[in-house]
Amino acid sequence: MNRRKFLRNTVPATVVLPGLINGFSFSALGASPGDSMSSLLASASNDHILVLIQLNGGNDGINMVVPLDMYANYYNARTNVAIPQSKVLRLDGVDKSGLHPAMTDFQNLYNDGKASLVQSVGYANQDFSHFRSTDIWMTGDITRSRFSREKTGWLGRYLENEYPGYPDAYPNSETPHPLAIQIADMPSVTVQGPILSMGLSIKDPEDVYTFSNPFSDYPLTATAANKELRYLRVISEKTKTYSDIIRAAYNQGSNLGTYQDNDLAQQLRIVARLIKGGLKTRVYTVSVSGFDTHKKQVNPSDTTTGRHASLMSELSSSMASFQKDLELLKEDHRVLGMTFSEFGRRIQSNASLGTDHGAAAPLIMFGKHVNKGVLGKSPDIPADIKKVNNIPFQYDFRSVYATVLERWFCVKEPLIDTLLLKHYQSLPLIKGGPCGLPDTIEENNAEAEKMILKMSPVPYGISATIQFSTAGGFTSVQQINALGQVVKVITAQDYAAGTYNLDVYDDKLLAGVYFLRLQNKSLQKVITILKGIQ
Amino acid sequence: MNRREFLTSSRTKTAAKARSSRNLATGLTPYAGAWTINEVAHLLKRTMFGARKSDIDFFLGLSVGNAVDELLKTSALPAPPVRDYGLITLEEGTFDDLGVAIGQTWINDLNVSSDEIARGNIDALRIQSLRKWWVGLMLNQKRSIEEKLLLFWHHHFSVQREEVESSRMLYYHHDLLRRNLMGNVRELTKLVTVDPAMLKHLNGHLNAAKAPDENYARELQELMTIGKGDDSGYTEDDVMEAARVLTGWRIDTDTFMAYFDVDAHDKDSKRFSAFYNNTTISGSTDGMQEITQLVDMIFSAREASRFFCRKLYKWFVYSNIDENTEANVISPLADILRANNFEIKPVLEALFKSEHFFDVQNQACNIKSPYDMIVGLMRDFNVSIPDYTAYATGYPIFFSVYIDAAEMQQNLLQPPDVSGWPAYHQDPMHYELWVNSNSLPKRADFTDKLITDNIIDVRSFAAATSMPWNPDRLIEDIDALLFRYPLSATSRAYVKNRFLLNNTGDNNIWTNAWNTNNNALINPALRELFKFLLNLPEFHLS
Repeated sequence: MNRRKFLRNTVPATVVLPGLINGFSFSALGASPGDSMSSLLASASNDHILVLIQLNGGNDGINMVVPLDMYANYYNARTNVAIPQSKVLRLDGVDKSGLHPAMTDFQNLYNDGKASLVQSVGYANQDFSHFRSTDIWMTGDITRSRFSREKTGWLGRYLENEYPGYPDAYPNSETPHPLAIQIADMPSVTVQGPILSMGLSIKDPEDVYTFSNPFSDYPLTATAANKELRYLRVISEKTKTYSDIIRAAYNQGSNLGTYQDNDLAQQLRIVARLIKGGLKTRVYTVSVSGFDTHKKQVNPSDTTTGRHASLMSELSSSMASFQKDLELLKEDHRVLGMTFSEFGRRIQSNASLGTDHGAAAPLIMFGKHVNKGVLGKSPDIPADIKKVNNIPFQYDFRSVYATVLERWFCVKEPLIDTLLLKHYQSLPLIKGGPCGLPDTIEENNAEAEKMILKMSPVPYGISATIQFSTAGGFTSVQQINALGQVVKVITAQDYAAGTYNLDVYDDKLLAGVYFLRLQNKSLQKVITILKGIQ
Repeated sequence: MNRREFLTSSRTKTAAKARSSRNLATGLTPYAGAWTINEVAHLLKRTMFGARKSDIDFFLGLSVGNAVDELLKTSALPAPPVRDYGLITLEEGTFDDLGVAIGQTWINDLNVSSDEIARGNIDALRIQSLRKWWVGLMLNQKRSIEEKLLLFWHHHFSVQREEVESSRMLYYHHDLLRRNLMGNVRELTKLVTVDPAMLKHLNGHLNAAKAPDENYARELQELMTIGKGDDSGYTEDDVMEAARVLTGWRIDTDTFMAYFDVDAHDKDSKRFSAFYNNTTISGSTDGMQEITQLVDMIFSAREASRFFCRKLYKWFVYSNIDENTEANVISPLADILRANNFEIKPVLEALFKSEHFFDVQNQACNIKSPYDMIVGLMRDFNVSIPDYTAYATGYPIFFSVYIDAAEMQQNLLQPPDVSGWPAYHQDPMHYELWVNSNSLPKRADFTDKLITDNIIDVRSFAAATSMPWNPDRLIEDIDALLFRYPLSATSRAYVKNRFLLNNTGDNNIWTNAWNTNNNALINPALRELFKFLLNLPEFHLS
């Protein structure tokens, strides 16, 4: 039995529903985790909203979050696009990395405790295609075969589980509003459900169309023979129904903050107004293009200006304006924002003042309930860039998704694993309160530093020994190549707490630079290793 | 058996399967089935934009084979786009395009005669005239596949106006595609590789030996030749090596022509992976020779011909290629492409003459693109269109079509990105992307407006049917001409009663009105009827 049916069957709606309107009331009331009924309710219809900001084209992560502790190597690898050290914006209590100089608004947001950064988010076997990698981020599946890979979006699966039976039974009195709204010309895979998108795409709620629902009393007796007609029937009906609802909410809503006149800010302004207008929509997506900076990402005379700087400024000020507006509207308690991009960019720059497609990159979360901090350490940038030109991932992007599901949408295991297709660790990016859970970033980073991960000898040859520690439970050690791709899984299994040695013999890998990535619970550690010529 | 019986009976049989997934066993065996208005409309609406009744009648008189041969004929090159704009008013004053007179083509003019302040605006106006001209050619298409095939090439070798920023480079790119639209995909790929618009679009013109820019090298393999299918095996090193082959090409900023700068070229050998048979391309000072070797090497991989045939298939037939279709259609088409040394005409011929193309499950399953919808509708209704050369009377109409299509997410010379239009590659939505909650109201507004403004003449359309005074026959004929997916009998009865009989159930109401030429009854009834029909989901299927 799914959760919603269970609720319908066991709880008188009149009693439960008012409480469900505000999900925070459950944690505020101190529902004990052991109480299955209250934890069930807490995981039920909370009113938490996720706003996803897609940075289209592959964001140059190390120019957004500059690795100050690796500055010399960073500068050496990309001199013509490097941000001067003195211009890097400082974050409270953080000395290992800082922000692009165009991000002062976001710097303030962070220093006010309303933002967190995760270093080097990506996945194993990085795909360098915009289109494939975007699909990977949106579906949460890296399966290569186009016949067997997952085609639904990670949030599509979440919404389908939360609101089963969409689209037929919707809207209804319990769920009167769109489940997701994409401020976009076209839907994206993120909210794709098993039958069709769980969301609506709109560009401008002020547009008024003469469009009428053709099905008011039109007989739909024949079953559609193909899926395209079935789709067209559904979209015709839902478009009419939901666009009236969206427009009504928009007209009822308002903005109290000010937004800049750029694309992203205006999209977020619409989102804030719809939220204020009373929509119970759970997911909003917005996007900004132009991140595919192969060329001319900086002005040669001043690398703190140029195309990427404009994008960083747009992103930074838009997030800050949105957050401020939500605070003035008193809606900030139920909104979490998050950025993502299909990949980062190459460490080494091109002669054309740009950077090619890369691997892992930092990701931003913001909102009232995020844990201020920079999770993870700066990417390891070697002195000799010819050997390693990509940033290996420290955090699988699905760990970030697991975090959102667990700590924002209050989903419990094993459902998180089901939605994400397998198990991913949750990270301490969001305060425990909203879903009644513990943890902070500082503790996490300190714990990660204490983990043991060593390989000897250096460089290694035919044989080597890897030493690692674990706090117990599922633990993995992966070997990653210079492209950021996992070339070998050293171990991936349950361990009792302790320190272990594993021997490697004749691993057949070519000589060169590699990384070892240790992962256990919410902790990871990545070290650089070197394989010598045997 | 008429079309409707044929469609419904065979669909009833397969309905259960079709609901879960398509199950097509047909392959490239030549089609030998019925040749009625249904099959002709299917062929025409897939290979052209819409179908005039006169076109349908023309092709009904041919055999299937002759009809396809006729459609695959190409015509002489059109006259180039011309200046259609007058003076340019800016804050600094009023300026003229001193390079060309109104009505003259600008394609040979380097835009250096006019005041420098106005040159950017002049170039933008020239690009707009290029778009208008192109739309004019679509609206005025001949009985040929060429305009739809040309739009396919634009999708395949996607370039964007915002990146290219030059009317000349965009025009000559377009011209290159138009000249080669029925030609050889491998040779065209070589030409596009050094085409100035493509060099600009994917930074080939900045690609230097010192620090190669991989942009084109990657998209060449991923989006134009090999793809990311299960059998694709090119490596990241192949991308980097190809980028090195492609170093050194530059664009002359005065003439907008491409040239090869040997000093910026990487003259060391380039080594490719086992996927390309460990090919080595020796470094040289001849950039074009290396590109020839590179493209030949890529096309010698079997996956290249399959990838291209899949792309054609998604454009002309269906979005999803299952394992049966891969084995029975794609693989043999790829063999034909290779056997014919990468000439595409034999491939198109085999595809459009095949029983697979006419398979009932391949009919009415394509969701119209904006150009299919707009240009198709205007041609379905035989709207009188000025010649494509008529810059004074035609270009304004062509421009409004361009704007409408762009609003509905198909922007000529500005596809969303280098992969073209996502409806032809984005799993799992594919064609469904064209019609969503954002675009559907725009489509409805557009069709309503065409009727309200009398741009499409619904009265003439009705009058041209077989028995317009008979409301049942009228609805049936309209259904057959307008919809690729037939309305159900109940739906036909509903629209007849609601719009033609004023909800009385009495056929005489319409027959009397028609026979007495009662315009006050007929015209509003037809307008509301067609507005309703063009709002139905079935209308968006092709």
